[in-house]
Amino acid sequence: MPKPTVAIIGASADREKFGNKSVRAHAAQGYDVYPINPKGGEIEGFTAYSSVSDVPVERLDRVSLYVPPAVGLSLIEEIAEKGCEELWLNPGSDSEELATKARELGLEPITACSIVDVGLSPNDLSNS
Amino acid sequence: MIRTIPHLSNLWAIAYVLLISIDVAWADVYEMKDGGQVAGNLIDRGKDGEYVVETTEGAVVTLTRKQVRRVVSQDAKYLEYVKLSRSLPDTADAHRMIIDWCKESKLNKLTDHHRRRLLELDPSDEQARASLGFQQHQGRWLTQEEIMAQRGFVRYDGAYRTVQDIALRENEKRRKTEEVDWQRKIRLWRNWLDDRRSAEAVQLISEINDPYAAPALVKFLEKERNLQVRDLLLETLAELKHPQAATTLVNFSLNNPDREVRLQCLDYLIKYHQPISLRTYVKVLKHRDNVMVNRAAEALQEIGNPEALSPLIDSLITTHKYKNGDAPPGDITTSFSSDSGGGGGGGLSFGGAPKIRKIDQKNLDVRQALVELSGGQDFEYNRKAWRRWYINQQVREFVDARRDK
Repeated sequence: MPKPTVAIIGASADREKFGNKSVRAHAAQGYDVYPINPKGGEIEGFTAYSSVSDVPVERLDRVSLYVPPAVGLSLIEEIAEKGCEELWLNPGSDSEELATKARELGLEPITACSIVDVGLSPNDLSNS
Repeated sequence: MIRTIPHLSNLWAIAYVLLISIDVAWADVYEMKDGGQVAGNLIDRGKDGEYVVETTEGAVVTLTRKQVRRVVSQDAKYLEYVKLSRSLPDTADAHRMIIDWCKESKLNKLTDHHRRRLLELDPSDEQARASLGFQQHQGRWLTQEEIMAQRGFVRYDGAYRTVQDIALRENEKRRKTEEVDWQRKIRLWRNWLDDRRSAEAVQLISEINDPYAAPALVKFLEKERNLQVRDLLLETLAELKHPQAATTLVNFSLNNPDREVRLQCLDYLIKYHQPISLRTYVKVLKHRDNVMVNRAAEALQEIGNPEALSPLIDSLITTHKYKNGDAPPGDITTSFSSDSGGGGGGGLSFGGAPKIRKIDQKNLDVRQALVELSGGQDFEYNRKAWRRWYINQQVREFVDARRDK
């Protein structure tokens, strides 16, 4: 059975940030993780892609957002074009406008913490 | 006969959608008061308004106006569907056939209706399952909604959310609704205060005990000019367990020009809002306006919390800036500086920027608060003496605490 895939939008190299903890949490729970960061490079040993459309898989199981709602709105059409089974709007990245737009584009927004959903707590992931 | 959609209202909605999307030939459906229906085209009207209708089966019937509840236009495709569905048995195969027909005819909602019926007759039909959004989950066919529910998410306001998140949002909605409702009621009662229903309004306002009324009371309080009404609103607000009630009382206890109102607000705070946060009052002890420093000190004295001792000692004497001529008389130390920021220094000047005078002021209310809170100590304006006494007190308390162990 293939591993589930996740793109972490707003992934960060800073281990204190949720955008980093999410990369580690999903990887620990068996996901193929694709960090998305305009700077590229590597995050937690994974190649970081500058946009979700660059991710080298046909379709993603999950996209998890760690960017402000305004940034999410500017990316949502690209995410919809790429396609994903679940769109996670983590606390701080969600807004009514973004959820509505996502649904209009045929996505299924989930407004909750994707780290908790994979069975981990952000507090359990060390900051260093 | 195959089972068609049971609720006519759904059919009319579907027909309406279809009008937009497909080329239609018109016919009408006559909904009867006894619950039946006749589909066909009107070919004539009788002299008393009867409908003479040629049905889709080719018969001609006359319906009186009393018999007909309403007439709804339908498109020919739908009528074709009705005809077809009525001619087929209620079996899985017949539903598969009509699903294909509906798909070709772009009758999507009807397609789903028959898929659902098909699943009732044959729960193993994978194609119907998948088309209706069912997924295999741990060996069972579940809708996405059911799968998400198992994971603890419910669709709400356009997104899947946790039950806790939904509860918070529901509470927030309820709060907003109730606050708007209170806004409306208090506006009405406030208007009554100016007319013959004033006694009733006073009664109604003073009986308010719902914390959701606090924001509305604050709003009306802030713009109220009538002192009696203001007191009524303040008294009502004071008893409400709402953060805005406490914040407003703190605000009034410092900023209201009337000392009686300030003291009244402090009484309300002491009576209804314990423990009182000292933070705002301590902050105002460093206010650039000396009057405010003393108001804060008086408030701290009324509140009576010894935690205010240390910041009060720091504010026994405070330095304030005055433009030349605005300075209060008396007091101890003065120095001059130029408001324009250049040079400073004393001396006479003609024209140019006004001179700013810095004055160290002894704060009587601060001293009185210290005397009160220290249990009768008085080192006048000697900050060092006050500080020494305060440190000794702390040490004594620390030692006493150790002895208790």
